[in-house]
Amino acid sequence: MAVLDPRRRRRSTLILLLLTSITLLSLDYQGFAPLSAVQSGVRSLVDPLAGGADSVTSPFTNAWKSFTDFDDMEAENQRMREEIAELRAMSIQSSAAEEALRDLLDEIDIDYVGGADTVIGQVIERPGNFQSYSVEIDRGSNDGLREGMPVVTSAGLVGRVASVQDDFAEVRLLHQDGFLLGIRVIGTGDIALAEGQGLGRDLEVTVAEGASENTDIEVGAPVVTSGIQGSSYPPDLAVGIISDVSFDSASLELKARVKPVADLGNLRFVTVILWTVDGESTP
Amino acid sequence: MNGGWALRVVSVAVLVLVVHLGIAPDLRFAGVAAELPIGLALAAGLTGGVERGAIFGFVFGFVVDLFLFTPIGLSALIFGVGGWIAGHVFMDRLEESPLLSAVAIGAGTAIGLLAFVVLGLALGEASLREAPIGRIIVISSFINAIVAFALMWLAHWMWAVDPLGGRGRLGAGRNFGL
Repeated sequence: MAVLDPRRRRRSTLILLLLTSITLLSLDYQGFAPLSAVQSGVRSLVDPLAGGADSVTSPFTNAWKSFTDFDDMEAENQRMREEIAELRAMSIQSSAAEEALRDLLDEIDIDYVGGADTVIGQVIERPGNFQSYSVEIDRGSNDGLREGMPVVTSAGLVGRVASVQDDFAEVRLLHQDGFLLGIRVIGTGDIALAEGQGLGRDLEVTVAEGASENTDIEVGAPVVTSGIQGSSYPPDLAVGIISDVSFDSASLELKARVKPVADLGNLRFVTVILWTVDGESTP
Repeated sequence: MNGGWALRVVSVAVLVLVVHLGIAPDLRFAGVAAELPIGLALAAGLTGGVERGAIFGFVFGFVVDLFLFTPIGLSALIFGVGGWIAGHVFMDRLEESPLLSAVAIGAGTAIGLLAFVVLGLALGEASLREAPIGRIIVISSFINAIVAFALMWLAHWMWAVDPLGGRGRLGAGRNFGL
């Protein structure tokens, strides 16, 4: 192992590492398949260890979080208690509404996904310091996942499956810059395209056709996926609420912002809906 | 290759990787998680010399790359060069002390993360534009400086029974007559 002699400082070692790194970067950009295979194999080995470490240390990490976020958590608890009370009332109403919705969607020939198969996945890799747009889950093609499938929590849409390996998948989160999503505003029925604007920012919606200053869209209005033909998402998945509305008289465009209802920064478990736009939903 | 030495290297690498992936994201300070892998690559160079630092940094960086959504080869490049430079510090007989180790690893982390961001942006990684880069660099460097002693201890232990016969946690350089 002379190559590891600590007394040597050959420049050729550095040059070799630089060239190898550049080669790796180049192969990665070209989608070199064997590199993906290596990636999958190494992840299969280490991901269970990381998941196990997370389980073992969760009491300690939870204590750290409660120490650093105590004030926020107290307010959050109060808010959640109030929301639970509201949700109990809403669940009764929504059961009836769901039935009516299913009938309506049948009439206009849109697939209803309320009864679609789902897979629950645990988030095994949360965003690091430089990775704010993706999480990794412990479910993959062996569990029926395909690229493009929508991913939700009980609150609403969080993103879609971006890439799939045998036993894990990458989920792209909807606040990613340029993430496009067809939405429908509940109440007015306006259909538009929402676009991610980056970490911590609301989605931006632009309505050009038929927009006027006297819009019916109001702040606080709920927004769901449009599910129109060709959309990458099934209809009526909760997306968020309108947080701002403004009319640009120069371009005659109505601009709105949508605050996602799902907490994208603190995902632990997510649900993948086994639904794809082309109907290829199961293995 | 000496089996015990290889086992130690792999054990330390896996330990730091598991902590980085499974625990560090939950232990954030001001919203920033620790960046321990680059700290270990620097410690490996500081304790092991130029070539060991460079090769360990490169291989460990490559493994880290496999778990990130950033380009494969980027961390390998940064960690490899970082380990190589840190090895020069070792070779130049910097008096080893906890304080100097902390300064070297803290400063090295800052420079390495900055290089990671600059190269990542040059390669078109849009997600890096959104990251609070200044805050991440300052806090991660500070955290790594704080845990430098632990990283140096791990790196010394990792190299202690290498095939060249280095012995002792803090005296590897002296044992080679440096």
